[in-house]
Amino acid sequence: MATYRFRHDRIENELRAHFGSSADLSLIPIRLADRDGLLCFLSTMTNSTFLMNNVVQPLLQASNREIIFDSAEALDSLRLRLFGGLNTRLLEDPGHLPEWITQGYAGLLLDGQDRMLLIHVQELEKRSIAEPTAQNVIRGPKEAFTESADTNMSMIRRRILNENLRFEKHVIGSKSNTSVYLAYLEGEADERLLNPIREKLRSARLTGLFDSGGLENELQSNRFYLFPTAYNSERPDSICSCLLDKRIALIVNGSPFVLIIPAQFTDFFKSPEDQYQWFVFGTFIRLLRYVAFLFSLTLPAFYVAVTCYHQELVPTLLLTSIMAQRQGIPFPAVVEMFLMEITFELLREAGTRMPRLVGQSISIAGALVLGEAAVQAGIVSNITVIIVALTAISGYVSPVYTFGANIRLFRFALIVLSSIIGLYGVILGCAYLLIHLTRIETFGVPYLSPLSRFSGKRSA
Amino acid sequence: MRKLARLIGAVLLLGACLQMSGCWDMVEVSRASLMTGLALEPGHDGRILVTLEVLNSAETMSVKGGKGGSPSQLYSNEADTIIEAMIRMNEHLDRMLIPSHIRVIIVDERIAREGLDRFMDFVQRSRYVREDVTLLVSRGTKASDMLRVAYPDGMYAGFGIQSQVFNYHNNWGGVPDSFMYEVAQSAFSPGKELLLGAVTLDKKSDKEESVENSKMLDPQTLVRITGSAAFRENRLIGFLSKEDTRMVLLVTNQLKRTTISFPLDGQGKYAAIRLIRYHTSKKVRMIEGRPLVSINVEAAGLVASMDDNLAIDKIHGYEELDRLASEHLKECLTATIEKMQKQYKVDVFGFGEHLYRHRYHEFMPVSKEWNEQFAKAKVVVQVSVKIERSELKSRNLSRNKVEN
Repeated sequence: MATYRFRHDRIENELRAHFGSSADLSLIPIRLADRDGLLCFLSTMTNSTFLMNNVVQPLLQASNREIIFDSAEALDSLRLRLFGGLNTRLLEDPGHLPEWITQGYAGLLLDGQDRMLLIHVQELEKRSIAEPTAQNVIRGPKEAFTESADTNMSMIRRRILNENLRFEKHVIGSKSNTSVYLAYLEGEADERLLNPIREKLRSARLTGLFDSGGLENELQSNRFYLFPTAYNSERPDSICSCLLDKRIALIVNGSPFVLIIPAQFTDFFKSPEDQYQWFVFGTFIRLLRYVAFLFSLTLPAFYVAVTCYHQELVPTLLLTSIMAQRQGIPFPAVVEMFLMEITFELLREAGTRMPRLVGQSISIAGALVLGEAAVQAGIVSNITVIIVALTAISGYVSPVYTFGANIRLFRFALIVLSSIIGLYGVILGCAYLLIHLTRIETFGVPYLSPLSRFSGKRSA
Repeated sequence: MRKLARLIGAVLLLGACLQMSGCWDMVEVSRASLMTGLALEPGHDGRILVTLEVLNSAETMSVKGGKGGSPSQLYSNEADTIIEAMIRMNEHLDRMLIPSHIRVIIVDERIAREGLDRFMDFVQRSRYVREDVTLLVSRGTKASDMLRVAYPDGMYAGFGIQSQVFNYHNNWGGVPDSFMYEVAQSAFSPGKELLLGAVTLDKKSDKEESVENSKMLDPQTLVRITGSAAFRENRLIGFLSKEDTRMVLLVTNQLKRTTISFPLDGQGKYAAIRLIRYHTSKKVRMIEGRPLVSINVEAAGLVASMDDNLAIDKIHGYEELDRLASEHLKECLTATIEKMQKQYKVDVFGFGEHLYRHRYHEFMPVSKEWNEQFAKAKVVVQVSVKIERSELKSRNLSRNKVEN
């Protein structure tokens, strides 16, 4: 007689050893006909009503269904007759049982069987689909991804009714075991792109992954890139149009932001809404975003350079006005600019992080106290406030927030350069940025690719 | 290792770049002042007296909240060269000077008669002085006095004078636009002499100049444009009236817009037409050693005012007006050219330049003494003014017309 690996008392002990004193481990002894059995699951991964209706009730009625519990096929017939509608599988190696349980399966075993049945009973609370918070449009779909990868995939699937759409599951995070789904259109997406990404996912050395942002950093080949090399969106319509565009999406369970690879410079100036309106207006808005990008990058540096080194470039009346405003300001233009820029960064950070209830106080402190009073007191000049405000507004024009964030850091570098060597420094900085941009590659795709196609290696 | 080498390379490159410029060029604008006007006069012992108009930016018009102080202040210094006088200005002045926004340079008549060359070199050599600075000659008054005039609304004299010249040039044409680059242009174009704007001061009382002047209903001191100054080889030789200047600009196609008044019947009744388009074509050639200049002015205008009622609702009325206007313009033009030929003997019209460009071989033998050739040239003037329409009305509203 074969040694029964699946004896209920033995498995029970093993599971207790594995999960320790964890309170959510449910081990329910059962008795079917005359055999002892065990139902084991994590109560936190399911909900009791679901379990009652779908597992316990059918089992209670099992005896009516003429199932012969003595036969070797007992589990097979249980599976077919009782749990037909559920995702079930048979487990042969008891060693893997804890893994399955943590993934939301309930294990059902009967003494005398050399396999056990796993029933997918995962039923979790999740946030319902809401409007996007970070990437709004006025006209266009108002749905945003949620934290549940299943919901997210469903939202993609229902937009692309195509049997070639694939969701390939990967597990990342040595401790968190987060599911990451690689979504692409079979036959459309480039294999030369897919394979390196699969490779990266497999070799990713993360202990935990709780947002797609972490994965984005992991996929970046060089961590000192100033620009994000993966596009992220919380909008299903934007992700779907990227998928149709032969790109690859990465859906991380637990993150409402879906990644798109490869990303190019121009992607960060596109909003899905551009497609939903008259093309002339869409183009105009897009050009405006490029202008805003330049503003947010160079405006403070340009101001500092021009007022400190190149007064001859400013129209006389404007210069007169600037000079009059700076009359009696105790700091040099650079210090003043830094003061205001840092103040704005503080305000922005406080505004993002603070509890909603105290939101009012930040705007009062920011707008009234810092803006008005600082000018009134003659600590900063009006023109600086204008420049900082314009720069700040321009920084938020990009539809993807992370894009603007990195640029802000480089802006500070430009201000320093311009304060030391004037416009020459601004030009140096911009030249560096351009060289940097041309050098970025994501999985073999040049970052500036729609704008510049030149590549020494490939053109040879 | 390769990475380290690249890092060092980058640091060195950046270091080298930083070496190329530096903080010493920095000017803190709140501790500096704009220089907006420059007046040049003869000083003691052949030195040059330089007067700078320095802006007090908090009191200028573009800024609210001035305390009613003077928008600019004048500082003078004497030296052998302009640049030295300027650089040494801090003997009197507390601030650093920013020379790049200079609006107007006024040269005293006495210096202009000696020649512009003495200071033109500095302003042309300096990278801070723009080529479109207005360059004027002060007539009969000290150049620095021009900068002492207060304009209302916080406008400083440099900008005020420039704007005055600009508007007068554009609307009536009594002054050339008088940019500094014209000096260089006339130096490089043979057969054309320099013409610059001329200004003088109208003083109604002997009071000291002050900001109060600009607050008066009837300003006691005003800068008046007198026309232009004619040069020969960069030396001032005389002044042209506003009317003559306008005719010169008409010949050189530099006139923007103007209004011409002419007598209707010789009994004190006048009509005025606004010239809206015109073109002057010239032909210059040497015939038997004497230049023959023919000028053809074709102009279009509209009736701006009329003292008498010419029947301009009929074609013959227009034709009559055309004839009168053309004749008047021709008279004025001929008189101006004759005056230039007889009195000054300089070719400010650029006839020589025209000949140089179109008939090089005829010009070259006389290029050295072109002004003498010009003085004895035969000039044929043709003017044809076409009046296109009247302004709002074709007849003037007069009482007796109604009674008829």
